[in-house]
Amino acid sequence: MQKNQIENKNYIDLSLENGTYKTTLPKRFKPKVWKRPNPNTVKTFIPGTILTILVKKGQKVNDGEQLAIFAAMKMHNIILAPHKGKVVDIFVTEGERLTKGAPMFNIQ
Amino acid sequence: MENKKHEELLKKSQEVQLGGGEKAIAKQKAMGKLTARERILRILDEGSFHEYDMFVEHDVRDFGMQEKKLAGDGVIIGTGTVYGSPIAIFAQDFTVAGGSLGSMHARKITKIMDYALRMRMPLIGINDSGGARIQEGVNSLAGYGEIFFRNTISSGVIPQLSVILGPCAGGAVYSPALTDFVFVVENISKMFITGPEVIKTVLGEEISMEELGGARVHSELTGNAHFYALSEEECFEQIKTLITFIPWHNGQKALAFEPKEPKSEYKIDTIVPEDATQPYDVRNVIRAVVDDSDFFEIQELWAANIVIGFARLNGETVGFVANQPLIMAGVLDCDSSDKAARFIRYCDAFNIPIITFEDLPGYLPGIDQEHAGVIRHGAKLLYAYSEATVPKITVILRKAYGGGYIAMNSRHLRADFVFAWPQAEIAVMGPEGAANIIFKKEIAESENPEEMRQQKVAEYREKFANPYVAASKGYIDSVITPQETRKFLLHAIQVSENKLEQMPLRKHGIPPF
Repeated sequence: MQKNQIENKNYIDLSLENGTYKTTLPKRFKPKVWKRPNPNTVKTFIPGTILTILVKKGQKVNDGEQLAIFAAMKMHNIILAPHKGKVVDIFVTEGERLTKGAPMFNIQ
Repeated sequence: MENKKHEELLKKSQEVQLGGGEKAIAKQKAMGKLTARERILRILDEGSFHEYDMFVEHDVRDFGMQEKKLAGDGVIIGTGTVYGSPIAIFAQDFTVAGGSLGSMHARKITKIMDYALRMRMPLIGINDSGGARIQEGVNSLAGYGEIFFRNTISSGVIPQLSVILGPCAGGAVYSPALTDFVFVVENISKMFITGPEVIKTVLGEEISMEELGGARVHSELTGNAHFYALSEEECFEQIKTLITFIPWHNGQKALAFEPKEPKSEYKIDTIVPEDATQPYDVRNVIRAVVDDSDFFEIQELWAANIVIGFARLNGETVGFVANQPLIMAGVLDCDSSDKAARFIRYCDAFNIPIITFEDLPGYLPGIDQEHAGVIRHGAKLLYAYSEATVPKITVILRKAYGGGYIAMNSRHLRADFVFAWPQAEIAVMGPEGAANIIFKKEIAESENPEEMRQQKVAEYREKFANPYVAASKGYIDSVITPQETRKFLLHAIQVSENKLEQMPLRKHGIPPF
């Protein structure tokens, strides 16, 4: 395995504020694409498991109403509605294991 | 009578020296690893190792532990020398109960750490451990805490080197993370807070130890490691070389070597292209000015858009920080700021002059950079340069624009000497950007806007993108030719030998961590 990857002569153009430069990019260089968050989607903030879902599809909820109990890191977290609206979609089932950032509810 | 006693000692020490026994040693070898004792003996000068606490035993009476005798409680401690420099060393022995850390094991480590700090000598820690010894419960956690505390209070007083030659998982990784330099070896080193099994249980995600926290990951992606080797032998060479560049403690300078001229194959006037958009390897510029063209790079795989490492000028150790136009045009970003800032603080703590080679187009634009906190990360660089009181010398090779100009050890952060090559472009921003703003109206109203733009860019470049505007204000001390660089550096180091700079009295600053 080559330790030093800087023997590459295939330069690329990198455009920056002050002009365009010939250079190379590290293999792992991938700028993340930023997506505007959707305020209607309630996402997990930590990996964990859905214990209980407290609302039904189509149900009207108030700002701060409890939506689910979500177990993460030995704690029972209560998931609250971010704003007043209708539960348009429930993406999870009880007992489901979720990664960080997984969508759980759509409240519109 | 005496002979019998001697035989008993011999027998007892031979038992301990066998560690976890022949079977366990064979298993260690099968994993491609050396034993703890072999590692110590290969790092230290021949015959210099003196072992302590060989007959220490654990005192656990639960879970059947009273039946188990663990040689040296799974760790070897002692002192020795590397090229004549005193060294305190400990090595966890994976063949003994998986190198697990119990209370006596930790007490041996903290004993040698205390020796190192009191006697002011570098500490080398070799980590190869399955983690906490569960049978010892909270006593094992106490042991870790005692080690972390000593790592922290020794930081900046004695050099601390961590060598990861096996697993180093969970809380155990914080000891290396608190030390100055971390060495890793391909296929052998594994570091993580939560391992693949926990990740699988909690998240259902599968990943191998190597992919999660192998040597390459920590050398290239996380920046947790500083030196990456393909074999333990190569790793030991890196350790020994590093020891030659650093002092034994913060009260002295690194040992000076015989001065040597740079090698003639590095021709300084041919390395940097005049066109500021063309790349080159800045490490060759460093090699062209330092003794024997010997540049010892640190973290060469991580955040390679900035280069850091040690070299010698007139036999004395200096630290280099240099923008690398070859990688990402040499921009500053979160990682490169972190990397350089920490190295600057290392040099400052251990009386090593800092030389900065500057050629950067500015900061990396991007939503991900901004959201990753480039403000906080970039600020570390300014903080580190500003608070450093060792001799600080800057050479502007080519581009020095905007915030990058200020950050890279400018006069305004109290650099001792700032030199610039004649092709240097020191300006508030690059000629293109500046012309676009200043001559916006002229360009827009022109019949041929593109032609006008080019003309204005050329005009700006001619007038402002040079070293003489900054030199006219005294922001630059001398405009020098590339060939004069070594001479000026040698002289700057020579005249700053007795530099004394005192900072306002305080307990400590609050760096933007």
